[in-house]
Amino acid sequence: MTLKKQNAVKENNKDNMAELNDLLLGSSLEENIALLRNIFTNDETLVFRRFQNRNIKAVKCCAVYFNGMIDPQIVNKDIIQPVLSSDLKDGIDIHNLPEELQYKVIASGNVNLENQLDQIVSSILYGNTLLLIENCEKALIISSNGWETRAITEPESEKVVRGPREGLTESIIMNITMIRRRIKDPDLKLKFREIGSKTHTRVCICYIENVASENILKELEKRLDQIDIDGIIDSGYIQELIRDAPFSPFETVGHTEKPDVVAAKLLEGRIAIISDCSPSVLTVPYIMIENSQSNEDYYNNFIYSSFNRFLRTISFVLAVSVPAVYLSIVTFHQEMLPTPLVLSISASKQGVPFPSFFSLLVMLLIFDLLREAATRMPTLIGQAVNIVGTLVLGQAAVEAKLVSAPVIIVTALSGILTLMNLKLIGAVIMIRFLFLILSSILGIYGYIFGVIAISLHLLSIRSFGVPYMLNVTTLKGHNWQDTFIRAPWWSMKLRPKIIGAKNLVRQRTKKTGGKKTG
Amino acid sequence: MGKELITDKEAICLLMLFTMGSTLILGVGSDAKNDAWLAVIAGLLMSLPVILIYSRLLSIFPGKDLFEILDMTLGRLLGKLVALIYIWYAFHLGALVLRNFGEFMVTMTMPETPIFVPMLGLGLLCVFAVRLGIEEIGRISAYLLPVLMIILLIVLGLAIPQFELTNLKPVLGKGLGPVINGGFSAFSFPFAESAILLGAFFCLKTKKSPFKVYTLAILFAGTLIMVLTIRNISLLGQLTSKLYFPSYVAVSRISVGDFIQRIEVTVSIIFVVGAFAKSSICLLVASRGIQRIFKLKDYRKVVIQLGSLMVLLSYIVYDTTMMMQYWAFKVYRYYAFPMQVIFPVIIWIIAEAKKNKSKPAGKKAPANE
Amino acid sequence: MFIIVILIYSVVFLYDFLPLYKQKEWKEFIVNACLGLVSFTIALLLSFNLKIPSPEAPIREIITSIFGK
Repeated sequence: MTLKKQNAVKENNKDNMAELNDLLLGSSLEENIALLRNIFTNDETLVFRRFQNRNIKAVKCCAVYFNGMIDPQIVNKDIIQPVLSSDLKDGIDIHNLPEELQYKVIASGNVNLENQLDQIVSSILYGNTLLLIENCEKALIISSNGWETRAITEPESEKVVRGPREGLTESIIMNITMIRRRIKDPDLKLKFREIGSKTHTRVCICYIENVASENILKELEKRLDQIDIDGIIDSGYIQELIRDAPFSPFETVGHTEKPDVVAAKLLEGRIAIISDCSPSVLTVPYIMIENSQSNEDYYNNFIYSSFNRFLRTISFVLAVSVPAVYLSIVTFHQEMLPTPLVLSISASKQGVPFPSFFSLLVMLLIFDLLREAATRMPTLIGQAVNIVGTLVLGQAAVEAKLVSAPVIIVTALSGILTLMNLKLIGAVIMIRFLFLILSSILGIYGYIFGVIAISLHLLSIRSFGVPYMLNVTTLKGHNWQDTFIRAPWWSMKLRPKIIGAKNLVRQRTKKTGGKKTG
Repeated sequence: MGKELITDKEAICLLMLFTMGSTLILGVGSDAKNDAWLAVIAGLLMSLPVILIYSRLLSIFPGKDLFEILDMTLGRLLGKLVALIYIWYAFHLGALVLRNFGEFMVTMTMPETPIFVPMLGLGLLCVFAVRLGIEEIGRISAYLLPVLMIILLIVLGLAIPQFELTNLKPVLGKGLGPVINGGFSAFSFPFAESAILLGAFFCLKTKKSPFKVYTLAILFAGTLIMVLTIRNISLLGQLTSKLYFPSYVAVSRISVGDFIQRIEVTVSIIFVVGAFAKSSICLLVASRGIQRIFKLKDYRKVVIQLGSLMVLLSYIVYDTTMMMQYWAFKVYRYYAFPMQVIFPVIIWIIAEAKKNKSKPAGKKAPANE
Repeated sequence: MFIIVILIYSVVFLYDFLPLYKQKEWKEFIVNACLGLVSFTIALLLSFNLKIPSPEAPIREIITSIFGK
């Protein structure tokens, strides 16, 4: 019984599209319509619009499309009207009719002849219009897709003071347009594929030939081929399915919502993965230092940018360390502090019933609760949350002697520092708790153990074969130029090594041609 | 995963950390009292020929580790026997380092914590590192060493105003005897302990690398140890040789103005990193030895069990801190002498003989190297 | 105390031995099991507050008997 059941389940799960693989269209118009009706049963949005040519009654047609997926203008003006009113000759060969219509009648940019049913079904689903003709075994597929898309706006998560405000949208074509407008070069390659057995999401691999590394491209294609999933709703699915170091809190595949960032990364030799219906574009390989890079760094004065980047790097280190170091000093190594400070800290701890570790842990958790609540809530309620958070959990908690004031200061400092590096937020939160627990057991030594362990982890992971800590540890040659600081543009003549391994030269100047390209 | 490779720079950093690891906190050559810094130089000079033999061995058999070399030179049975001794040596040394760290923690910084906790912590970290492999250990030491050097130099700079160089006098006050004695002690701990690295440096890039790595690293580390010994003596005077952890006490005396004082935590940071590097190398070599003896596929598979055993051994190995001190300065040098000198010399002689024999035999032999 | 030891070791054994068992790497399994059993025994004895003789004592005695220190 179980075997039968399993088989039945298998039958049900079988991909509908696969069954259509070998089917062809018939010659009878009504039979074809019935066939399509049968495939799309219980789907009222599929429209069958039958019509005839004015002059020749034999030219019976039927336009098939999905309501809402097409642009009615195109269907009315460019498909139905020309076929209705065209003055075809009487003695026309009915077998040549599709070609005749394709070449002489229909006024649309993209028309194809097709008789494979699976192709036909998928193109209707994509928003094309199908034109069935009586007594023909081939049908015309006319591209007519048009649906409402979101306007181009500035992405909330990556705001800039200076630089392009454009943000990517959910439409893959629009995204590609935005990227191509920035890189107008035939070397910009776009490879399309479909992922998802149900969603058939279009995914585009975008790279610049002769700059992007072929090995990384091959590896990426291999990993994309291995994906076998029913649907890709957002590029986040792909991100997690193709990443290295799957258990690491650090991202090894980058994502951005800004076309200028994508273009800049493509120029550095990275590869972008654009997924339909998702405004975030993935970039590989992704290395640690990119977490603290911002696109604005490259548009502003380099001294100011370097300072900002330095702040971001330091804030990552501080965000994970401050609670742990505070805890280990007040519980284990009070002798490290000057006496007045020790006195004032212990005075503020007077009357607080909980140990420092517990109150720090709870306060950090509450901070994260507030952050998560504020992200998900409508803006108006969010303000209420802010007020409650700051007043009740800050001052009131100290006055009620539930926590000591230094704990609040440490929590707030660490929380704000976390928000400096939005891309690292997940990693920072996890590592902060790890360090806190370690230093509650072994004091500052526990913290050092944690630092060594995290450094080992960071040094061991790779993103598509590129070491994650690339350019952080080896300050050799030109590689330091875009790490903790942002070197001035006139000095960055080469692309980062390994990533853009094929073509390192970025700027050509005759004066200083000293550096080799090897 | 391909062959593991580490660059020369990483190897130098690794060897330096290994050599300085527990030395920086335990001190060397206490037999020589205020001439301990001379004893360091003596130890360095004594260790140079041995180190050249180690590097020669590695360059005769490039890409091979100690245990394969033993197999090829001493034959299968004897080779395995000596390999067992080396495994024990590495394993035991790792446990001793763990124990040093634990003793340091409970006597100096955290008296309430049971000694098992810091040792277990460090042991876990070592297991984690060794499971990642030698490449990662090499990379992290190339990344930690500069940080440590900066800390060391800053502390040294702060200490200079308080130096009392009269503590160094009289130079050679008791004659050469104690210096040679202390030198021998410094030779066996830490310089010749680099014999352990024979089991880890299968991953050097070229045939020339071993010489460069060994000589540079030992010279740098030796100079640093000497400078720090001078620092300790000139800050503490006669007290140096009576303390278990002279560096820690010496640095705790540094105070600049009212602001910078009690900076001994820097010493313990350095010690943590050094102890980590040293014991993880020991664990790595021991597990590689077990892999070779039992012909396992991957040394990473025995690391967890071996690491837990190492932590337990470090827990039971001494009864008191005094015993640790007695071992480190009185017994250890005789115990380690065969592994550090006798076996390597024997292997080296056999290897040279075999090489000379095989060279005229056919043209293939040089190509294999 | 010994309950904690047993618990920790069972977790370690599960983590360490299951993959070896599944991949049928018997040699690794046996070597690992020997090492694991030794360390488990020592840990269990320690948890009963028994004193384990240190391997350091015989080595020290051999060396002092040779060199007479």
